[in-house]
Amino acid sequence: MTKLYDYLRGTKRLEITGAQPERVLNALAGRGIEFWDCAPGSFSVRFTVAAADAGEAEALAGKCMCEAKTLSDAGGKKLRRAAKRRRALLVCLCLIAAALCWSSLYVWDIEVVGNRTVSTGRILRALEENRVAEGTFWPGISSEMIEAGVMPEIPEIGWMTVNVRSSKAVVKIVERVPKPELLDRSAPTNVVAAKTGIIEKMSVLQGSAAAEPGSAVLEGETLISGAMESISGQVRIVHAQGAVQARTLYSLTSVCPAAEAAKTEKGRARSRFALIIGRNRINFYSGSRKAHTDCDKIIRKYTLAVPGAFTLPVTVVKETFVPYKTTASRVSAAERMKAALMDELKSRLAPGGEILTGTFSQSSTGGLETVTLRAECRENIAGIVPMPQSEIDEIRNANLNAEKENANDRTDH
Amino acid sequence: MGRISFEDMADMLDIPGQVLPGVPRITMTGRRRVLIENHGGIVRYSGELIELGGKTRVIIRGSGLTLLAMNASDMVISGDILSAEYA
Repeated sequence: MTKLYDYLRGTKRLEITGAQPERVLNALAGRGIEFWDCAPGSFSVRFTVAAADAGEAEALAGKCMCEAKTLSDAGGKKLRRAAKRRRALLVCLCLIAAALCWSSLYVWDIEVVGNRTVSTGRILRALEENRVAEGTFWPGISSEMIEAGVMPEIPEIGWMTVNVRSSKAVVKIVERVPKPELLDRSAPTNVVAAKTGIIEKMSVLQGSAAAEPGSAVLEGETLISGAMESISGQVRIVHAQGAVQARTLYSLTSVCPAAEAAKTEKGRARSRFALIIGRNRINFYSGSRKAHTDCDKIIRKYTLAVPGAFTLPVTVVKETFVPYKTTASRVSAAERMKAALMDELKSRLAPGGEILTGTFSQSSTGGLETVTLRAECRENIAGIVPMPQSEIDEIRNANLNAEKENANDRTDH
Repeated sequence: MGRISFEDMADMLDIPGQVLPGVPRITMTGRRRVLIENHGGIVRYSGELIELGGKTRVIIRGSGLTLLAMNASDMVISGDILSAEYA
């Protein structure tokens, strides 16, 4: 960009010859005259200055007892003279510049960033309904209006903004963080086993332990009870909390056809092109409705743009068809199932859980492949559940009875 | 007792050197580029040596030394720099 600017304003390459050409450089710097590409020689120095400063530079050279010689000049007046002779070219350049200026007032590319769960397509549709699409006059876009229109349509969005730069609208989305479930620490609860396993370690934060390390527990069995004995001898109902680390066993099975179809390239890839101008598409091929079976279709879009400067409403579309043939692959089916089983096991583990051992067994019967994963894991199996009302009533009745007995004892004495 | 220079006074008073007049500040980026602030003008200039004037003379030695940009106070030199010396 700097070079283009220098070319437009015109530059001169000067050679200063004399006993001390360095003095000229000091004088130029002192006067604030810009010079660059300075190359020393024998009792001479060459540099480039803006054409407008060349006269002053030559005068300064004379004052420093040096001789200035113009080696070359580029751009500036020379360019203007050339442009005068080529008026048609000049008109074309002006028209292109005007078209670029006009085009830069419209949005020709929309990019959505920051969305994770809400799909880009859904956001683009909502934007289009709120009059933000390709070809929209961007000075008329208001972030507040878009927010007011789009956010009620997509409640998952917590905050959004639209920034338009050089015909490209960047829609920044910040998704709403779901409200965390509030834990009622006063509610009576028990800690039960979320999975069947053998307890290795127990950390009781509140409540009384109902199981011991080394014992095997079944799913749903109470591990930490919310009923605690108090100093007075009565039973208190608390919000049981704790962590119970246990070894758990998993056996996951997956069944699928013994051989599955795998793609392999067949023949030469074919390409076809189309041009999108604004919202209109021009196909440079026929038979666009023909279904291409047994082909992978790869679409690449190239928008004419100078990144950061301007974007034109012209997009070249290249569609490549890669023919393929399918062959039965036995290995890929089994490997895919093993990977899927391992992913499934990881998803079933409690947060922080680890896989200690894992073995796969494979069998094939009746054209079906069966893969089984048997794994031993270590994880926290504690699951907090509300204490059953019957248990609460039972504890309360027991407390009342105990109180009555105590009262009777006091009366007897 | 000899004359006390500005630099000696600055050292005694614990004043940073860059605020003193005529003290060059040299910033080298790798061995290909050097920025000199508060220079006192060029005394000698060749492809192998650039000598700068002022109270503190600075000599930049190297090969293919080129003056990229220069104004009354700052200059940028590029090339294969071997050393920066004070004379």
